[in-house]
Amino acid sequence: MPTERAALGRLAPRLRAAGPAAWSPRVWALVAGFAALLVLAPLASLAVEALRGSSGLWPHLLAYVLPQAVRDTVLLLAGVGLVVVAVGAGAAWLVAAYEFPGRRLLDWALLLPLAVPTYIVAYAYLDLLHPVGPIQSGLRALFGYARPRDLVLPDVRSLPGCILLLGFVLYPYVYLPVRALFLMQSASLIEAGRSLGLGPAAVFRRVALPLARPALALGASLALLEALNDIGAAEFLGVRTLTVSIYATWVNRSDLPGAAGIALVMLVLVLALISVERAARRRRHYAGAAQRSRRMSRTRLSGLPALLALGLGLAPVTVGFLLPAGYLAVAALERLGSAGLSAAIVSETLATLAYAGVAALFATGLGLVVAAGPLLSAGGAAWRDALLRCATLGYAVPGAILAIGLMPPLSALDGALDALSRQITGTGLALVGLGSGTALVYAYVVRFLAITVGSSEAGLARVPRSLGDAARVLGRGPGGALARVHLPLTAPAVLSGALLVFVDCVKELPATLLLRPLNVETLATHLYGEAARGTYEDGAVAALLIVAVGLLPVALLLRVSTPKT
Amino acid sequence: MTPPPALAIEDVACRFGAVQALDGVSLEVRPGEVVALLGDSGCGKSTLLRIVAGLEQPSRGRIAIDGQVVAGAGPSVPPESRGVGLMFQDYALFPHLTVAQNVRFGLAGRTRADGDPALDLLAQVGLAALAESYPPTLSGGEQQRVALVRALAPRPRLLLLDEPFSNLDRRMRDRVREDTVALLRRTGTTALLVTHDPEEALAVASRVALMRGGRIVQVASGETLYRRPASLFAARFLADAAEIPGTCRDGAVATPLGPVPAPGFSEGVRLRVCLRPEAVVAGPPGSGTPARVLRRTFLGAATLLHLAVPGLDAPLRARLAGRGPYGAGDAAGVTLSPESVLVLPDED
Repeated sequence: MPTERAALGRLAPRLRAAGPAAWSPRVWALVAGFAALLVLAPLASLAVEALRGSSGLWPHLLAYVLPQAVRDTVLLLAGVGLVVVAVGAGAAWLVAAYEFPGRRLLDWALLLPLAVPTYIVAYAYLDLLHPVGPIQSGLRALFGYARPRDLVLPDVRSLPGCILLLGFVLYPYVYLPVRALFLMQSASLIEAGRSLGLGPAAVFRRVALPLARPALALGASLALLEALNDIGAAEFLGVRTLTVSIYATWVNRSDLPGAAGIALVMLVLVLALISVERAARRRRHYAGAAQRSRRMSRTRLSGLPALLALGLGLAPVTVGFLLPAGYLAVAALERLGSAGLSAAIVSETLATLAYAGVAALFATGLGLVVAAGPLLSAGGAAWRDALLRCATLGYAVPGAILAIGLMPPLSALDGALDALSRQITGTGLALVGLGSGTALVYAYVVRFLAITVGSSEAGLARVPRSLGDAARVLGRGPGGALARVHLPLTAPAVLSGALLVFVDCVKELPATLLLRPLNVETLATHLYGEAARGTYEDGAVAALLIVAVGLLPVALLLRVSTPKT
Repeated sequence: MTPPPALAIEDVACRFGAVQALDGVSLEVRPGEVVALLGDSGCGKSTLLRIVAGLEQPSRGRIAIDGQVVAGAGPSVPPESRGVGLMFQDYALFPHLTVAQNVRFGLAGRTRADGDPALDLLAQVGLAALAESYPPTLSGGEQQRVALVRALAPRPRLLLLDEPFSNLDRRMRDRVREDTVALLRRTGTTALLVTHDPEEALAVASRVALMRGGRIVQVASGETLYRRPASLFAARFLADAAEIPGTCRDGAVATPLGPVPAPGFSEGVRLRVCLRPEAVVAGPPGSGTPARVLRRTFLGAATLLHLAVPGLDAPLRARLAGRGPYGAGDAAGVTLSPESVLVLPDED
């Protein structure tokens, strides 16, 4: 023992205590716990708020609001689900299985509708398909009709209209994973099907499609969560979904318990959606079984079939991107030519960029720390997985639910701060949480944290374990290793996550509508306001700006999803 | 007072789920010594190295470095505070840092008035010109040297090397190995090296610890381990040999090549006589046991003869200096070189 102590004393200056390493896991647990709390708080407050409502709340909701809202929402989801699966999987099969002139263009052009938020496509088509709009006028000119009432098209302001429009901008969520899966699938499986006597169509139906089921389920669930989050398209097109009902209940009647009640019902729908997706993906182990084998060779088309294939592939691009974006560009240019760039648009753009930028910054930092958990603390733990899952739950919570859930705790906080300030300084504080945009940034971060956690995790997973170990052995603590080795190597993945969050914040409408500070407009809320009023002033300019920003991640996806050869 | 061992591993065990990776391992490394952990993949040697480095935690036992307990009593000392260097099998060079920055990584905060220690070290191994290059642009041998210099730069109390030469092709390996041993000697570094290659262990280490199934089965100098393996497993691991099973009768084993003395074994014990090529002496027909040459393999400086001996299931191999007078099909005679014959208890 004395020798040991002497040796310890001799070495003491060269050694640090175990302290510096020990705090890192605790810090991580704190941060991840904080992130999980951020997500869970609004959900809990939703339940409390709905229970606090008057005794007449639920009978009223059940009698007058929920029947139609639930029916419209379920029908909308079912319809959009069918359209995105048919269009997305069909387009993916077209570019994966056939070779024809224009295929390489279609490969990426099919992603373009991702840049168009649902409320913008609805806004654009309302004008495009208006009786005096370009399409109907064109058709009348073509067929020689003189007056609008001579040619009556089905009204786009209907449930089927809404389903089609949402389906044609949301199908890329299915197209992207299913296309990746088709490209990964081994040729031998397809060829085995052919050799067993199946035609091309039968191979698609009986081999390719069942193999793609996990990707289909994933893509469709993401598309449907987007459809559920939509507020603009449904409202412009006269569909009274749950989201629209929540907004109307809160804005028109200031009935927070009522809105919370509807939000709870919607949450049940979200849970059902996710469990269906989980069930469909359960036996996914066979999906990646054939990764290393030969790629499927494409069937070469020429002549009329090639033209037909190109036309089929271009249809969703045209409906989902070319027509609305083209219309917005023309309308925006006309507006800019006649009225110039209005001061309102400039200040709204700045506000949009500021909120999205701050939210992206917070989400990225928080996401990185949450994703780095396994690196900071040794050994796997169930509680860590649970924290991580909670922290990334927000992606499934529609913006309207989140906003309604956030209001009670934030207004309570505002009230408490106000009272505190009165006691100390004698003057009250204005709404710190709800009035400053803090609430909005909070909602953005919670909703999109899963994106930054996911991209950081993917980036960190590609850093070999030995690099982190080497940094440790060379004298860095867990935090130092993260900062000096993992972070620089993960930067591209982290930045792409930040970009995705930024763009999603720019596009996000329902949470922005409900939580933005008074008298502050963003591009999205401006567009919503004009569409709701039926005015067409700067709306096209705002929409075009949003679509332009929305093209950024499409370019990013393109770079990531194109295999380097 | 004798100085404490540079590294003391005491009864260390480690379990990953259902797998017992280490099961009561004890080993001491004296200051300035190079010790090799030798064994097949999965024997626990790399796990032991990672436990010493602090990258894994033992489920039992103690680790002491220079007499200071770093694991097993109280909170474990984290890797960054143990004062050990570790050279990884894949070198683990940071791809986003230059060679010089890689070497400086472990020198943070230590500045010297007389120049950059990283550059001095790189110059010592002839890599000064590559200081500003990035690791992915370097050849395998250059990466190996950078990794070694980076691990040595902070002057660790103990250097750990995980299969340091396995990513090099054979031709390069011998030279790099000699350079590495020379550098370790010159810097007086205490080192623990992990390898699956017996030749490498014998060439580099002053002592070799042979591992099997999470335990150390024998610790000895390379020569002792080779010449006097304590078990059939050790004998088989170090070199291929023809084996003749038998039983101890009156202090010897009867074989088709005549009785082989088995001193120290009790009557009736099942034994195996192991004949490595150096234990088999091929001579002209009539000398010793008659045999026939099945095949000869020309190795350059030597020739390996494969000899069939009546009564033996497998052929014997004998090494001849130069070409030797024998061709396939020739008759020959076989005698044994008694000091090279191994007699060990049967394990199967």
